[in-house]
Amino acid sequence: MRVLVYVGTSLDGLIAGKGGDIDWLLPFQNEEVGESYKNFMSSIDAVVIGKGTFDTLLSFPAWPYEQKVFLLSSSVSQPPKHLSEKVTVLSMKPREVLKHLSDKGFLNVYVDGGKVIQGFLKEDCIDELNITKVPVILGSGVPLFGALDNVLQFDHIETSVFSNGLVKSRYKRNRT
Amino acid sequence: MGKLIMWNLVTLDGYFEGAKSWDLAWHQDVWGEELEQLSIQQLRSADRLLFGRVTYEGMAAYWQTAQGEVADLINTIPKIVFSRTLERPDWANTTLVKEDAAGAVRELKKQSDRDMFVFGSANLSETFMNDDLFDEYRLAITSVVLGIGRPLFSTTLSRRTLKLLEARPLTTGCVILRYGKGQ
Repeated sequence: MRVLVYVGTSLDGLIAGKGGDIDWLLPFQNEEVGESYKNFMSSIDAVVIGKGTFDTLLSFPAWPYEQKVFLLSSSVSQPPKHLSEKVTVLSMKPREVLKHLSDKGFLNVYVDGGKVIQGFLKEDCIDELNITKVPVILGSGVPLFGALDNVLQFDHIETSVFSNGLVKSRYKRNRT
Repeated sequence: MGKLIMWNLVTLDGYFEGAKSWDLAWHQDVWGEELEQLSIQQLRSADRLLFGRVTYEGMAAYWQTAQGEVADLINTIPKIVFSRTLERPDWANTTLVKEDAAGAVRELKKQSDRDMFVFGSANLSETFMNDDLFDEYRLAITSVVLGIGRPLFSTTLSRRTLKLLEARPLTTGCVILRYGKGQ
């Protein structure tokens, strides 16, 4: 089972501005960028998110994921009724989550949300990073990466450039 | 008009230096023929290098005893170190400027048509970024997540949109990104 991240960041490594704002990101959403994300999602069979991301998704006009979504939260016990088939709440640490998903037969898990990604990196549970750099410096906001006790070596696999200046790089975790 | 260019190797998690000063062990993984060629090209295109005190002293110590083409170029190129506390710069061809780095850079841009580079020099770079003086941000993003270190970008910077000039992965796995000022 593989665990993947697919995320956009400012040049200074932030996934959102202060208070979680992503208005700086919206002008860069276009068909090309959307296609790339759709392509990525087509290989995914499970999504893991935290409460922050969950709350953001609830504000969307429609629930965006076809795949089974696992919400990591100790404060939410049940998803809202209309999402009871789509969302399962887990209160587990990253490694337990992955064991749980692996036991259930999931093969490609997409992890999203700043806190969750950081938690998974801390436990060295991320196998692939897809990071799209947006040509903006934000200064203050929510960083993608947090402090870690260990160095994590990744190998660069490929980089693609979008016509609007976004640069997407794919990295695989090298644990040798 | 001369261009002020920031050049730095930076980790995937945005550090230009490890936790300890001059902790640059991770540079080894991405250094090689391509980066060396890039360094030579940059030094040939520049008419001067700008430093803050700490980077200046560290680089002086390293390069004065190094050999090779990069060493020859970097030892001879005109340099400016911005510092109120440095007494005597002892690296060849250095001018010491004690005040108003931003003003000095504005003047230098008028006097020259060529590139001026800033390597490292986090505090100085922050001063230049606050005044939006960089014409280009040129970064080599390495594929290591260091976990701790000194961030390249300060959290007090004001928002700005840039324009991608080039994105080029090297065979050693680092990705060269060049950004100019946005509209």
